[in-house]
Amino acid sequence: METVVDPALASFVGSQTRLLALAVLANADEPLTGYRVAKIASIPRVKVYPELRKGVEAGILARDGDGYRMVDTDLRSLLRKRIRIRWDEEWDRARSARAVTPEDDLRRIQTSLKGARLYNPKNRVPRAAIRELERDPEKNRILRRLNLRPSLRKD
Amino acid sequence: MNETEVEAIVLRETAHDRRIRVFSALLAKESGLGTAGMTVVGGSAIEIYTEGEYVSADIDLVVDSRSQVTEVLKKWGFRDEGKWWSKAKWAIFVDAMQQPNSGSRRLTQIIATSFGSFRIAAVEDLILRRVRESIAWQNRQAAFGHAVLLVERFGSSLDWDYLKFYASREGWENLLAELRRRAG
Repeated sequence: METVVDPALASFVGSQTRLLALAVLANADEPLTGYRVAKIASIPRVKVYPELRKGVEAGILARDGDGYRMVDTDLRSLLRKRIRIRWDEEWDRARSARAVTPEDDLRRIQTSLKGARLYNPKNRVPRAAIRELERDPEKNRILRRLNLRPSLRKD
Repeated sequence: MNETEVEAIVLRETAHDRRIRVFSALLAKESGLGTAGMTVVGGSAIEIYTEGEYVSADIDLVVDSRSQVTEVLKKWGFRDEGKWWSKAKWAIFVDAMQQPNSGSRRLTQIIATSFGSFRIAAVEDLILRRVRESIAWQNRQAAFGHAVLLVERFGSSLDWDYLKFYASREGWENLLAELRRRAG
């Protein structure tokens, strides 16, 4: 299924395919093959390779082993600001590279927040935004019945 | 894809955040909503961003068409729980809300998996909601802790101007300063 991006930005860049291919490389932390760019962007490979070639010719992209990476740092920053698209394996690699679990991180953070005063009577959170935070208590009742973890948030 | 095929894929993922990712990608594809019409929001989005800080078992979705989602969930053997859909064996509980996403569309993230892509709420909006929760319900440090965790992970790529806009409007600039300090 095709990935949908901002049509105005796609029109500005020239095409949705070009924008997606560049956005995928702008968001990647490592070189990606044309095949991988096509998979992440959900566009046919045959359409991706000409865009990558043009990118290399223009000096925006560079070949790196079997893959491509974005070398124009300004364009990289710009695209990262406008489109966020990533391959989930990068998520997993980031996880395995971490020495501590998110639970340990959260424990450390909670300890550091002990005694912190977060509430301020001058805060003006709109009522509509507060309503959005409310949670139907029935939801947690069902989760408990199913032996699934309920939310600790306010019902 | 039928229930058996999806079950084989979903149950292969033992980590809950990875299970949410593949399930969301399969649901986005099978429902026809794709990345344009379905966004993972709430605690499940935090779980994905933090690579496993397990908030709760429910998956909150903002969708363009609830009927397209429920049709697929029925096909996959989910149980109708009134407004929600559950499948205990998969440890998945779906809340599909047909309403506009109140957060930023521009800052949302598309995550590509081997089974397709799905869209997830902007990390800035998740931080915003957790900060609001921590101040609106008075000293909810657990909520602010989640905001700090997200900032520690994504501080360098956040749109700080977006957060600053709401912090100024809602009077929590001091908390934003604390988040910036922790982002490094």
